[in-house]
Amino acid sequence: MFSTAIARLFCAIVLCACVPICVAQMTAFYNERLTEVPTDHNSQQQKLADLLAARRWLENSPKSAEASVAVGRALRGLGESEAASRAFQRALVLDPSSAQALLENGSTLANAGEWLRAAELFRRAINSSPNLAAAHIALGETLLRTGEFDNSKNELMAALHLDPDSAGAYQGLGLIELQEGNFNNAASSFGYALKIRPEYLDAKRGLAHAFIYEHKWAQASELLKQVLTSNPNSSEETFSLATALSRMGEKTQAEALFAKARQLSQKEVITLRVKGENNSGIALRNAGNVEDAAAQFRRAIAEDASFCEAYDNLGGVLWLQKDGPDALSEFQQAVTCNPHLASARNNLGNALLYSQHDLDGAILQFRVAVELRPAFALARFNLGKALAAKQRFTEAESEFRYALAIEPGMAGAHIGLGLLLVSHNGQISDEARAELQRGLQLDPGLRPQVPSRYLAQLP
Amino acid sequence: MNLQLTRRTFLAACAGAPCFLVPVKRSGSLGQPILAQGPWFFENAEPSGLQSFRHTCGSQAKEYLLETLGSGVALFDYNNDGLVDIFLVNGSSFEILSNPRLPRTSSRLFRNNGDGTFTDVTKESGLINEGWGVGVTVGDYDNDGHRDVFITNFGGNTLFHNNGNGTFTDVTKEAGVEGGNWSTGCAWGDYDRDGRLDLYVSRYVDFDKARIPKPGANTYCSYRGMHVACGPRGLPGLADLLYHNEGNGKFREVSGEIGVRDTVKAYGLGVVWLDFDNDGWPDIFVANDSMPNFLWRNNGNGTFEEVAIEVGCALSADGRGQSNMGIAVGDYDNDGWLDLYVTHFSEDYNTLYHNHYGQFEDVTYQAGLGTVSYKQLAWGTGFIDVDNDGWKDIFVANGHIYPQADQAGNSYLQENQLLRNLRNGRFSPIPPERTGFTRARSSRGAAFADLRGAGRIDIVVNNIDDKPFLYQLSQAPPSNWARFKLIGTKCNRDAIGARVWVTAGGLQQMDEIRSADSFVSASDVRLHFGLAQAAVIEKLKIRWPDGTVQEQSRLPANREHVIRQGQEL
Repeated sequence: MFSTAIARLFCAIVLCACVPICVAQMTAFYNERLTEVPTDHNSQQQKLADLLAARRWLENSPKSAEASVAVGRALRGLGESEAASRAFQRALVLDPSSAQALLENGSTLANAGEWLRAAELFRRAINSSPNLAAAHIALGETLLRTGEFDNSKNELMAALHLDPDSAGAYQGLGLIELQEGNFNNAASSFGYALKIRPEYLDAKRGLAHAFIYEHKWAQASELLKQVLTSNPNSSEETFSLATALSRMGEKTQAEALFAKARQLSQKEVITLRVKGENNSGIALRNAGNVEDAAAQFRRAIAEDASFCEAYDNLGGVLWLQKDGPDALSEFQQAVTCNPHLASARNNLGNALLYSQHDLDGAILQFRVAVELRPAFALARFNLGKALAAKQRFTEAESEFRYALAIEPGMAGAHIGLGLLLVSHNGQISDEARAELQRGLQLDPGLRPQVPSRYLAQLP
Repeated sequence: MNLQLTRRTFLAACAGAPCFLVPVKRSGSLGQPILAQGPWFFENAEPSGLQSFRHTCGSQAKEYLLETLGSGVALFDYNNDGLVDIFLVNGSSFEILSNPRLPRTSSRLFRNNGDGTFTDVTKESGLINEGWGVGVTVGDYDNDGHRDVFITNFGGNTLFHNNGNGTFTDVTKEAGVEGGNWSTGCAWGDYDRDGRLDLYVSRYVDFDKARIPKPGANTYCSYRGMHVACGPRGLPGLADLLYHNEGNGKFREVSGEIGVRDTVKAYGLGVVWLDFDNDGWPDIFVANDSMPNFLWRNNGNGTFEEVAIEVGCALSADGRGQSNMGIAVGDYDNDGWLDLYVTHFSEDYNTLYHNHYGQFEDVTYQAGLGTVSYKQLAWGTGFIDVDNDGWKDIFVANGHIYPQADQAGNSYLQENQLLRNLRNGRFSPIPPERTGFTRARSSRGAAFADLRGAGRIDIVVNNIDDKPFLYQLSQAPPSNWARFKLIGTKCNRDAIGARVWVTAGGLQQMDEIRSADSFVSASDVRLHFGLAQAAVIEKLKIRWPDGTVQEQSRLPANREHVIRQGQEL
């Protein structure tokens, strides 16, 4: 009785009208798609467990920069780079001299091309912890990018002094030697890196190119084949291998690889261009210009119909234009185009809910989304709501908790969890009260979602 | 060595067996290090009168890629007085183009007075290009003995016919070469060897200001964390154009029908015609920004095939598509094959492609050039023998496109560079205090000619939003030289595409006449060779663009030789 009431409540939250319209064909279609989605479930679950552990550490030690760094690293391991970046920033706020926080924030900046600021943070990390080899390597790599080759070499040598088994330092030194035309030294450095880390792909790539410059085509081609096994669509290595084979007189193989390199490089150009159209669409959408954004996404699709994100984004702006059926269609197209696109799965789930009132279909899509991207907090939140509406409270609670572990500031998840906890014992527990309070604190606009009888019990 | 050995012949010889490309040992070498200490060049634009020109290219904020590209320069004798004149292409701005009440910018023609000064003759010559000018190529397309000028613009290109009386007439529409949107590089060449110059035009970005994102709008609009002009990555491109000269003052765009299919719509910049495989047919190399270059191999039957990836000049040695801008063509190691030096964006190296039997290899690192240009954003370039020692050095014009570079650990204004040929396959950068290139600017197009007729190469550089540079050697190198002006009678009049071999002092040098190279620029068509201490050219061999060969021996040094096709000197 009470459960039904709570389920209705979630129906009200998520559906507005909770009429499960089963679209059998559609569900069958997506069930079929679901089976096609391969995920390394155990590995992902382990990473999620690491995140939860790091979150618990941070909850217990909210002023610990190390704990915040741990959260960031766990999030990065799950592919949530933006959330990871926020965690690293928070760590730096907690302790501006934390070498690990400085190192991680520097790495974030370096990846964004902000090399000067990155170098500054790496230098501070070294000041805080002079024996942190990773910071010397990071600074060395950054200086290499800015063209300060001598300083870069000094940092990498310092790293090796601290950690003679640093493959990264050998790799960086190899790159400098290569640029300076010292191919023997470069080959030695890459060779050392590979002795330490035999599967170090960048070192294999570097050593292959050192061999190419020395016209040691056979040795280069062996390494390039290994690199291509790991990354078969690399136009760079395909071209390099083709060059090596052509010099070895392997004309037929070389011609085929040159043709492939040409195709791959052209595809890269088109992909970059389509990403540009797509990015412009996102910028327009963010500026509130949804009509032009839709046109931009359509242009991207016209240029390359296999660029799946554009369908997803087009669906998103059509949704904003309150064009539910067309939005649904675009999300379906996105998922057909790329069954692994978690964002499209999440959006499709929402569209199925709101446009088709298909709760089962929506749950399916949300589930696939979180399978694909375990730290996708929004999809977990949506899944939690949908499961609650189906009276599957235990599962729903678990999803809300996951969502909050990933994104503690998600107000809706606090409210959802609070309402679920109410449902377990029929009255507001301390934990339920705390969750509802936290949710409303984060977003007072959610008050209408909390029944007045519970609001009355809140301080 | 068989100078006519083609790539196909070479590959056939290699078939089925490992084919190592071992550099050919040359028998002789000219010259000593011959330039004195102290600045080699002095900067002479102001006294020469060129300082009345100031380039315009959009706003100082450089919010759009169009505002960053700059323009080229052409050095040619427009009035046949034997002196090389200077044509500086000018850009424009969105405000000027959209407001007819604002004064127009114009490219400028400066007549060489023969006394070291130049006079602005733009108005009286009628060579007035008021569009947003980018590139220039000079060629006598109607073989009337007077050089015509083609200018690429944003918004439609312009062809000026030289009337032979010091004036020009805009014949763009009649000729049918307007193109459209944003053209950049351009070069004349006679691909079918019918004696009439055809025209290749590279195009860059399909630019619609209304649709271009603002700086910082996405990942293609940032540089080292700074918000900068977007592109070219992420922006729509434009296909290049190839016009066939129909012979009646009209041209026909034939790219699609003869195999020059730029289906990927590459971001084309520099263009040059060269016979890379020594088969006697002119090929076309196009520097494409942020993607693989094109090398359109002339099949000798009126069609082309794109072979840059296969012959090794599309990408860097490690397979990266670089930000290719300008192109130098020359046989820097005097092995009888034309090599390429291609300039690039900062945080990358400019690539030296060594040509060995028609197969290119990125030898930048081997040549000692891996780090010397890493911070520079490079544009105009040329293989020029500065000290006349018989070995071509490299000039590079530098300058960043982002004013924000100053806040990002690099510099918007950069010094130009001279890389000295060490005659062993390696180059060494000459410090600014030695070259005299001490004033940093954001340089773009560069062209080369002996403006004083003194046997020394001068350099003119078009600086974006600024006055130009005219670099002149402070002192004559204590070495000999020779210059060749070729006049075609059966081939095109300026003999564009002709190849010249000069043997002196035991060394054979080779070069070709080009209508454009560097970055969207055109150098003098007369070929200059440094002869070091050799007072006599033992042998001169010319392969005219129509394939006919002419040879002469025992020519004196230190003068210009005018050679008419089919006639003895």
